[in-house]
Amino acid sequence: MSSVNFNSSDLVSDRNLFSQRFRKWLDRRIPPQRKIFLTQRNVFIFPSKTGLAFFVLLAILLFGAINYQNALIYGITFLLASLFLVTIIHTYKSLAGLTLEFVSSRSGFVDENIEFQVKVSQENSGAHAGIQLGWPTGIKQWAHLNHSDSDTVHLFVPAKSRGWMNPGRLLVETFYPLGLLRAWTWIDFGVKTLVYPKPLFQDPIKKTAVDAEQGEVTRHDGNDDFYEMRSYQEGDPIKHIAWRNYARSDELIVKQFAGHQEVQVILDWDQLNGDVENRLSRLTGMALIASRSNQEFGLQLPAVTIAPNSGPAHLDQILTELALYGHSK
Amino acid sequence: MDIQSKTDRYTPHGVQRQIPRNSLILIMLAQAAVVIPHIDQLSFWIIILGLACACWRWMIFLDRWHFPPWWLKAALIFGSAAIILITEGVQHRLETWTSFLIVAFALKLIETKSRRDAYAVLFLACFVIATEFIYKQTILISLYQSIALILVVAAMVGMNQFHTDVNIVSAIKTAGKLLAQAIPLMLVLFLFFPRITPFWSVPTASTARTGLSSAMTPGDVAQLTRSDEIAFRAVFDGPPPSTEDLYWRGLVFSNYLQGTWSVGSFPFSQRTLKRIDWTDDDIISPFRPDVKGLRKISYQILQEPTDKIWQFGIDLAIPRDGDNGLTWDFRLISKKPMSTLTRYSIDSYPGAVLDKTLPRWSRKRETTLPLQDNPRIVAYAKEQYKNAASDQAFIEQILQAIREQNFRYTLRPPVLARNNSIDQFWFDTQAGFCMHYAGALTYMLRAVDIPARIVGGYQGGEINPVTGHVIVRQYLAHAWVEAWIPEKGWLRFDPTAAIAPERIEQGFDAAITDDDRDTLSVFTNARLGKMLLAARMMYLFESLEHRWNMFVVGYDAKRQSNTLQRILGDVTPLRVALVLLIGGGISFALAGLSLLLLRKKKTVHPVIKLFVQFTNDLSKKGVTRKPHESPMQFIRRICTNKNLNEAQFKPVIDRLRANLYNPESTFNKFELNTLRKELTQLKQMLLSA
Repeated sequence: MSSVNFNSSDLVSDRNLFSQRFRKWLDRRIPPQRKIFLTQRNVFIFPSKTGLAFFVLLAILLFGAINYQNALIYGITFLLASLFLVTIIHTYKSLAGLTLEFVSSRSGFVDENIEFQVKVSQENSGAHAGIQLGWPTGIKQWAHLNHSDSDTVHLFVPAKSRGWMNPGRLLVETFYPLGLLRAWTWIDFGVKTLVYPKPLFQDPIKKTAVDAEQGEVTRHDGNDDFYEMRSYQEGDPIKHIAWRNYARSDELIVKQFAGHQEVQVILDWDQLNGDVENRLSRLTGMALIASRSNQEFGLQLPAVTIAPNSGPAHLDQILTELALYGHSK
Repeated sequence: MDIQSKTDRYTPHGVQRQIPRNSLILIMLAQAAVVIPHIDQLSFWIIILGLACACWRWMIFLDRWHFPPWWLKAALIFGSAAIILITEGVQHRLETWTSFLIVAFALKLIETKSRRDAYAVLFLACFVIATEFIYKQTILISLYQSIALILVVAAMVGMNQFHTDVNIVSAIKTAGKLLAQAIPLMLVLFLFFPRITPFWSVPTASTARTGLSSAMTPGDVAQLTRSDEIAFRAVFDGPPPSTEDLYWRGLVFSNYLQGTWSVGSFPFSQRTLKRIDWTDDDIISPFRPDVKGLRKISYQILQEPTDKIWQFGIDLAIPRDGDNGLTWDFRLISKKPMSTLTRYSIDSYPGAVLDKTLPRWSRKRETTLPLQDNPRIVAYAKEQYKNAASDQAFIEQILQAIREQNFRYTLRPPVLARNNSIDQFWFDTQAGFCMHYAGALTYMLRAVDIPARIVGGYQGGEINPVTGHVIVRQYLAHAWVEAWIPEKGWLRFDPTAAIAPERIEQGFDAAITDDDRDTLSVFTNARLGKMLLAARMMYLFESLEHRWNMFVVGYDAKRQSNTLQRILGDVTPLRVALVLLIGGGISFALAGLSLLLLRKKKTVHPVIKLFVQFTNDLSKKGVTRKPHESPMQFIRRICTNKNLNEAQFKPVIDRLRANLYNPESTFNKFELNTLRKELTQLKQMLLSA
């Protein structure tokens, strides 16, 4: 399942072992779930790097207080030390009490950023601030809870390879209020999304000759000529809706156009050469071009054959086959 | 996947590594706040450099200028360091280190890009605050620094929020709350953390502090500036002695050369010099004058920092602590220069005989005069001595001369030449302050071989009516004469009492003329004058400051053990741990409570409130809105039930609908009041029908 590769080769093996153990421990501690409420069970807290530097500051101040026998320097040292301790509660409470929920994800192509949406919500506003979240490979984003009880955060994770992508555990962290402590958690939503091969647009689309004059009206959702009206079905293009009709009758009617099939395209694995990924990329590129130019096309893979067709659902099916080629579904 | 690769893999595009703009304002505010108290110690160019860096940073903030190139930064760093080293010299002085600190602080400003830089600046700011406490420990400075610290913490708060979420005012509020919550824990730490003896010697402040100096040239002084800064406070166990007996001995001036009196040295080897009564030294024979059967006055002195070792006490003062000792000329000295408020306890035995027999070194030291200086006064003294019956009678004769001749006490004496300055004073100008008179008398006594020396210190003191302690200010600095009379030892003679007796008897203000008043500050004049309310306020504040010194600034190891015993009875680790837990508990409880109180109150729109009130009133009369009914449907239903014409309520229904649902509707107080009236009307009509 793991299709996301990290450059972990630089890590020494015992560290890998440790990280494996840590992962197992984490899986028991915070099992995968779509919606998670943060409590002391799943929130970790430790001084940040800044916090460790702060200890050095405190030590220097304490030395100063001792050497100068200065009660006020003792005072400011103890005040800062107490501040640090008090902050523990604030940092912890900044994270604990939040609810995180997986909203949705989108498929994408290799080398694209795949979007995941996560909803962060709070019961009592005010205590939570400075929340950042992100997947280890992605970009961290802030959750804005200042003015509302919840915020849907759009996270982007670069897709490194095709197939099912599991972004892994999501890091949610905060340094609020002083940056001296870091409260964090690793959340597994247990989600995966499909990554299609990176498209390569280098091959011309080979047409299977079909006489355009004699071409039948084979499709009912083309663009060329008006064909008939029928009621709206999910997936119909919005621009085909008969709005005037809707204004009169409250019913969504879609205009159907007839496309005269001129060419038929089979994207054939065997007609390409090169390695597997290269072939898949080129097939993907061809599928996209064919779909864009509204042609009917099919796919011929060593184990899979898909009959020519067109439309978003068909494209989706083809891309899924290409994405999962050689993978177990 | 690899969980170990945590934050360092997040090399985000900008956002979180940058300093939020409002945070930068807070950082600059905090920086300004912590530097301001240091301004009087800084060279002019450092202030200019700081301002320039602040301007530059501001222009960067406004996106008008760029960050300086590396060579300019390098030039600034090395240039500044060079200037400091050239002007201040390579010295292990606190001022030099402070200058370095502030310069680094200013230069860091134009280099602050990332959050890490910002934290470096903020930690430095904490350091600068602490440094300021080495110089000053007053209550006002402490209050000021608390505010500065709030700004520093507020800047930290701003650093951990998203750009647009940073609000300067709310960050300051948060910082204030956090610090307030930390205070209980800080207090117990302050009380209980063991006070350790210093590890190593530290550079001390060497700024010119007001106070006595070890050498004095009265002829050079054209105007004696008298500061009303506090030299020390004395807390007597019983009632304090009267003003004319308050001769606080500090220094003994034995050497005279070219118009300058200076503190004499002891002709002992270094080892014998150590025979000051340090309790922890290997003393061969501790110097302890015989004080058996004498009346004892016990008191405690809280001396403001002087960076000197001289302490003050009333003759004969025997120290009770181990940190100070008595010298062979009966001065109190501290082991170390006193760079912070110093507290010491003294037993004084007025009337003790000082040096019943005079050691040879002392006789030699206290009768030596320069060979050719001041010939007229030497001749005059020898002439007068012939007529005197005894040494004491001779002294009395001279004091009489001061009283009867045309001598004048003034803080603005004429300037005298270095050579023959005492001749010039005694015979020509005849005007001066205590040091002139004491110098002349000592000179005359030595001329006739009577051992004599000048004692410098303070005379008098005001009693704060609020707390009853004695305040000794710098303007009470005084000098008098000590002469050795066989069998009686060293006796005190104050020629100033002869020229201006009211100076000694009634205090400082009685002796000064209106002309002299100009040399005093507004505050002193107010206190000495008749502005009673102002004086009372000043005494109140002074007593606050005294308590601050007693309980906070002067809280040292000894004080700590006393306090702990008072609080805990028996100081066991268990009890200390318990109190620490209680303090920590209070802090954590406060923090928890503040977070609980943060629970946002759900604010209900006033129109909804109004409508809910309306339905509640109706349901009391038996007309209840069903859960699924919209407000309009509800009103419609009642109208149909009661056979009312719905159309007449259209305005109120429209208004309600607009205010509840239309996001573009204009809502204001007038709308609300109209709606309230209309709903009341509607209610009455519905109920009456």
